[in-house]
Amino acid sequence: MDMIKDKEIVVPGQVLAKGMDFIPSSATFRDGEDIVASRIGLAQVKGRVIQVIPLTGPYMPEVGDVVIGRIVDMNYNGWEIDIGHHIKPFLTVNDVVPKFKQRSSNFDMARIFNIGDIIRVTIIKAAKNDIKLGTRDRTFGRLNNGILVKIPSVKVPRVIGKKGSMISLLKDFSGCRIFVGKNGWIWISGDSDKELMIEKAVKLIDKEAHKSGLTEKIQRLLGIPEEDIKRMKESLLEENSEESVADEIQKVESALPEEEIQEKKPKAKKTTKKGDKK
Amino acid sequence: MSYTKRVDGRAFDELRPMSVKVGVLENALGSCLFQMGKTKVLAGVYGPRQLYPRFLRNPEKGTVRCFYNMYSFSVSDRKRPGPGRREKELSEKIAQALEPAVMLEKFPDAVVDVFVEIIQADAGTRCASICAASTALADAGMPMKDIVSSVAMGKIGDKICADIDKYEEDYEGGATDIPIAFMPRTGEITLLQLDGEISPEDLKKAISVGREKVKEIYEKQKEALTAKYKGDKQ
Amino acid sequence: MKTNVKKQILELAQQGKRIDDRAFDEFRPVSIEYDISVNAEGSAMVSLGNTKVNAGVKMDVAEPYPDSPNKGNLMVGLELSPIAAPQFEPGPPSIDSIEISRVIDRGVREANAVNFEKLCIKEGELVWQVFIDEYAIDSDGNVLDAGAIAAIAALANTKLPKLDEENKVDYKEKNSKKLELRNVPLACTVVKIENFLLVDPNSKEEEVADSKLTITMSEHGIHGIQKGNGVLTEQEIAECITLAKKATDKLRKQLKLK
Repeated sequence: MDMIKDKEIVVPGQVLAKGMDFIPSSATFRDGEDIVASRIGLAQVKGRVIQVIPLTGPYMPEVGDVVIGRIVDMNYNGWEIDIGHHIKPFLTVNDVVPKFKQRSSNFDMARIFNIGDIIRVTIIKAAKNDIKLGTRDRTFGRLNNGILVKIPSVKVPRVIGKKGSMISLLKDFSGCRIFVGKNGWIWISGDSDKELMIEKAVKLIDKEAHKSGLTEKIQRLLGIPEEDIKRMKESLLEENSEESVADEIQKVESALPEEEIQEKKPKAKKTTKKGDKK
Repeated sequence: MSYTKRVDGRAFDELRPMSVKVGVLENALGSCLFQMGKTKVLAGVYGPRQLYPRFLRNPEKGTVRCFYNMYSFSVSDRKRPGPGRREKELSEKIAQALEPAVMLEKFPDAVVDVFVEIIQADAGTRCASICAASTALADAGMPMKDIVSSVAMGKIGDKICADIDKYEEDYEGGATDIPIAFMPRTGEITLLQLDGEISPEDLKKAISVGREKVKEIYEKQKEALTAKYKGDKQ
Repeated sequence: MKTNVKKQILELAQQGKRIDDRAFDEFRPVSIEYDISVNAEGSAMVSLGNTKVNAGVKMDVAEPYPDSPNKGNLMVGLELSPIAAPQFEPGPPSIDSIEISRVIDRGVREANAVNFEKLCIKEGELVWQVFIDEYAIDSDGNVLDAGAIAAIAALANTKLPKLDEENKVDYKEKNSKKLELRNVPLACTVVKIENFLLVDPNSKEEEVADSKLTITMSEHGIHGIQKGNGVLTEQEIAECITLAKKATDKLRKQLKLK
């Protein structure tokens, strides 16, 4: 064997191709003449470029990723955020609240972010041993009254779907507000039973991301009538028949939903009034 | 003393029947149930995660930690629960056998924890642990240079045997244990221990037989990992 | 996050629902795999939903305790192995694992799950010693109830080893004599979340619970009670007992013990 077949499932250490004609791309490495897979995933051959689309694995942050995080600790300086990575980035209070407001007598850090709060935030630095979070753009803010579901970050494109088809399906049929973090943390807010339904749908996507017929399974789970499922399937067929999971994952790379967030600047509101908000 | 025939009728270089299953646990990020004859091991992987105590952290690359836990009922005479000197040594050896295969430079300061539970023991538990653990690491999606495969080689009487069992380990005519682990692609050795008496020539032979035999184990590991995703693929 | 999950659980509870689709007085699905370890005298893996526990019985001979010269000895240990959940740490048994072990131990002992008098070989001198060792391998809450089922399953699976002429145990010779189960004690943990009482909490329910009560019951009645955190009224305890009776009776019928 000289060459792996496109879309074949490969394991770490597996030789994908021999010879200097090929170029190793993501989740692969070169060892002498060989191009070798470094993670379990689907092999992808595009001309001379060989890469592996991982099927699971730890979240590797990249600059620009919009992620969902959770406040896990705080001190007088700021907050420690869990984003599903072994580094828990620190958000300093100075980045979030202007100095003069901090001096106010009724200033209380826990009113801005308390332990257990869920936030949405963008990664602005992703070095191997240092991750920094941005506080200046519109994605930044606390997410109230929802639930958090965690899946491997590599499955995020499947939750979004082709051109955002899956995520709009989930939103439209549940009426829930959903934010999908690049880190695989998903925040869902709506009626409790709808939240539960979306949680189940997301877990099903995680379990069966590599299998065919996923959209129909999700439609059934959401309680969409069979005739409508059929109709939707037919209308979709013309658009994109028989595309592989790998192609799909490529296409939706960074198609995260752009939406208004609930509280853009919690600091402004929170510090000015003697809030009785929790 | 001549060892003419193996008790269970295997050829001298024949492995016991193997069974490998991945994704058997919900909470662990990667898991594997590995059975070789009557030796049965469950491995689970967590991480990369923050390493405590802090002074153990390595800012240049991540750490692999292993905890080898032998069930008290895995052996004939009940083993006292909790890690003794043997378990601590084996944990360290298993971690060292796995570490070269994991691309730890991607996770400085972090730790990848590997827990192995010996459910049933019939010799070769450290080798089975390494096989289970490396398969579980791959199942967790960890970036790796290779999957590690390991076999309990031995010189039983005057014969070099592959995958020795408890009877052979206790063989009265003399038994030398040679647990050995390879990265099958490159043939690099990540674990080698020896306990007994052997000539340099015989040791070389045992290593080269081991090198061949782990290929069979590797195929089973690979099969189990890909089977998880094959399902009803179009 | 804690409060959000609690809100979800409470809103569903008001509609009579739980996050994993079952009734308030219902255990999660139970399955048992026997003979997971041949060197054990009896063994089983029990799944209670996604909570999984491996259990094994080892038997040995020993001197009886002075206060029970004609009875076999019993020892139960359950380890919350770090393989089972990210928050479980390696090291000596945690206080949780000690408490779980002791509650299971008392259930088996007080309900006389096995006839301990039959485990006497020579009164005051030699008796059988029964070790039930358990290891959680996957935790989605309520390891205790799963462990109690696993203890019973492993006991039901146990065959006595042979004794030689000098009263030494010969583990190589398998005796076909089964350890007879006389009674089937089952633990039932009930949590209180605001004004709702839920049987067999999963990890999310456990996390937000205000109080917790474990009741061990057999057909003959109550054999053990262990209150966890929080407070309960007299009436709530009575309700917990009703729930536990109903749930354990149903589960006992479903269990396929061998």
